Amino acid sequence: MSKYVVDSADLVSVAEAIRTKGKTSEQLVFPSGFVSAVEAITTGGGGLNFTVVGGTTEPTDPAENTVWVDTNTDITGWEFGFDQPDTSTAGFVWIKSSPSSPMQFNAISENAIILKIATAYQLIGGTWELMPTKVYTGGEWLDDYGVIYDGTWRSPYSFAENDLLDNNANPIEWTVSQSSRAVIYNVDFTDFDTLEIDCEFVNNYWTYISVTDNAGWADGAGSNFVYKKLDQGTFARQVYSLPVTDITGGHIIKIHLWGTSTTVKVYRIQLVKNG
Amino acid sequence: MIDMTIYIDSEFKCHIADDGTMTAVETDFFDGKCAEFIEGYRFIPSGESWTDEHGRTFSGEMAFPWKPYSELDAAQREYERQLAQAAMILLGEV
Repeated sequence: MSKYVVDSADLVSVAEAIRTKGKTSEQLVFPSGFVSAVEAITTGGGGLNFTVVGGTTEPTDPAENTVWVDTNTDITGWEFGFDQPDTSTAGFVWIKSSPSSPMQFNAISENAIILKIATAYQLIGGTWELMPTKVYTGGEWLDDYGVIYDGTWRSPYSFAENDLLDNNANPIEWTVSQSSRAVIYNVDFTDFDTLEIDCEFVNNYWTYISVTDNAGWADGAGSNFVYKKLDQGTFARQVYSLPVTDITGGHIIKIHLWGTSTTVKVYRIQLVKNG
Repeated sequence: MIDMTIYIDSEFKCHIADDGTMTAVETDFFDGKCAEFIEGYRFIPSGESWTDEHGRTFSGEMAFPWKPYSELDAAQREYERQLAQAAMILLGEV
């Protein structure tokens, strides 16, 4: 084997480069120490290890870490983040991050970047529309975090104490001739910030949407922890948001109506965690 | 339920006394509640709305705590305990 003469200054500069890249300050012995130090240098996280897909049919035989956004609008781009993206691109999807969602996966193939998803929104007609979202990871589909009802009830929830409605309907609709209540028992509000109820009212007279421990006919606001009282009238479909940050533990969601001919339609009920 | 007057500030936080800048509101929501409980709530009257630091907007009529409800509930229970104690003293029970 040939032999070479190497200037010591050159060896030092190589060693410095290895120490910098390897984030170490140890003395390196040439050549074995140089070799070991280079081999110990860790690379970045490898490639991205997930895919975002649309469509209205749940993918069959999905790849690991498939994020499925249930939409019939073409996805023109996507962004993971806590804050709503600053974009006006129609069809763009915002996959909203959550600090505590069980809907999570490792986004890279080496080391880890754990992405936790609250839900997803898509920009359609200038409005960020909530889109049902699932993640396929660990061999199973993980569902939207905090969704209670979105056309389908999440186990173990359903409306109780109301014979006027069909829990299997989508949306759930009932018409009140006197007084009615619809309650959802044992909803855990811990770690959530907002209760969202997407619904519409026709000919509303007296309605309270509330978080309470009183499932009964108690009148007035004082039996509730949080309440939203609707004005009289007809209200097009909209999301009613109630702050629940300071509510913890299991409680009841109650929609309590009184009217001579009030119709309510419920499209979605969801607890949301803000970033 | 009995209506009572409370006062809300510019952030819709409730107060039992007006400092001269607040808006008076009549509501039965706080019937029987102690001052500490009342002042741990926000009350948004019908027709008004409030936007929090996260950009979420909430419209009235609405009431919700801005302090942990568990703390407000503990204060209310202590208040009721003291009321019961006072009543028993008046009745000569203790």
